[in-house]
Amino acid sequence: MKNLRKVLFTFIVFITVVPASPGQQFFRMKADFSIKEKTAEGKERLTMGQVYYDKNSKKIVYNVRFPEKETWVIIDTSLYRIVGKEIKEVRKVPAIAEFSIFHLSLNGNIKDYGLKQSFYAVDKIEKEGDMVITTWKAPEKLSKVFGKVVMSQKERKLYGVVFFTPADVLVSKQFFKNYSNVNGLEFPTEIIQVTYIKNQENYQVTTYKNIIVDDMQEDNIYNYKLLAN
Amino acid sequence: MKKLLVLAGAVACMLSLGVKASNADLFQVDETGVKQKLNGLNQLENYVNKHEGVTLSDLKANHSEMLANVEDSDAQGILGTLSAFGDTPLGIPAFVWGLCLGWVGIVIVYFVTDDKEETKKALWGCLLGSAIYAIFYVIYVVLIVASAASTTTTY
Repeated sequence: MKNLRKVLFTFIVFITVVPASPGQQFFRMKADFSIKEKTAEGKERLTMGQVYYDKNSKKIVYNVRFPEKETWVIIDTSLYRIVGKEIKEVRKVPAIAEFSIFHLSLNGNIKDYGLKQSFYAVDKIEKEGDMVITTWKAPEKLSKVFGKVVMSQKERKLYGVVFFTPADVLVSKQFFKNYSNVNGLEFPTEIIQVTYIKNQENYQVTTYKNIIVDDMQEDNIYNYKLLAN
Repeated sequence: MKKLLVLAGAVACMLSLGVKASNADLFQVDETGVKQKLNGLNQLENYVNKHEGVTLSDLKANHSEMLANVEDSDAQGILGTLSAFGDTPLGIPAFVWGLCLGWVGIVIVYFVTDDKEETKKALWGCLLGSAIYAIFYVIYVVLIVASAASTTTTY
């Protein structure tokens, strides 16, 4: 009977203490963002505002202030464009919340871009200068669809991710820079992305400022409730 | 023989160095060049920061020179910063995924799009692919049986 009590006590301590261990405690974040894009044709776009993400509700909410004041909410596979309180547009999008940089950072999985939790497997690890370069490959059955991903880390932080097609053609490069540490949460405040389309380069630079982690205010934005039309 | 070994060693070294250089090269980016290309947008960003609440429509109404190449933002464009995948895997219709890759195609569509309708299309593609395979298989068997029968008749 004493042994049973001991086992029960250990079990209760385990289930109450382990989830509260460091690295698991972040659940939401918000930041000011700015996205600058330039296409190969010379077209330019600037988007600015605030982004909110709560990993429990899995909603990404963009409070956009430029080019126009509107709200973009990504829930599951839908993107809602809201002006005032009215839903102006709904689009089908891939389910990206759990693969977003916000979710990966809050869960401490950004170091490997979440690839460790995916179907990708490590093919090769090399050390080159100050970088550790890991090549990830999809399982053979999926290799005709998903190309390799080459990822590099600097000082144990994600630095670059390079995507290829199954035919080994370069698709895009992303660089994660200027990490800030907010209450223990490491988050890149600058992301440079170069996308290759028909041998031409398209650029996108995203910056984050004023990052706030585990904010207990603005619940109504983190758990954005859509009003029915 | 010695010369040949030295040459082989040198070639192996060069090849290994070549491979290493190419992987490190992947992570080279002309950061200054990229930022210079976005210089116009940096000016616009500073202006927006200084003038709280200003929108693209306001600037267009004032015929601002900063907007020479600037167009309205597309909410879809923001997804590029969040995910490497598009609407359907590699832009290939879900039906074709099911048709060509069978159950593997259905699984890919299901995980990438997380959309019941798209997965259903992949399932229809898979069923059609299976039906085509079955028809060809029956024709193949019939031809073999017919060929065997004709051979038996001849002897």
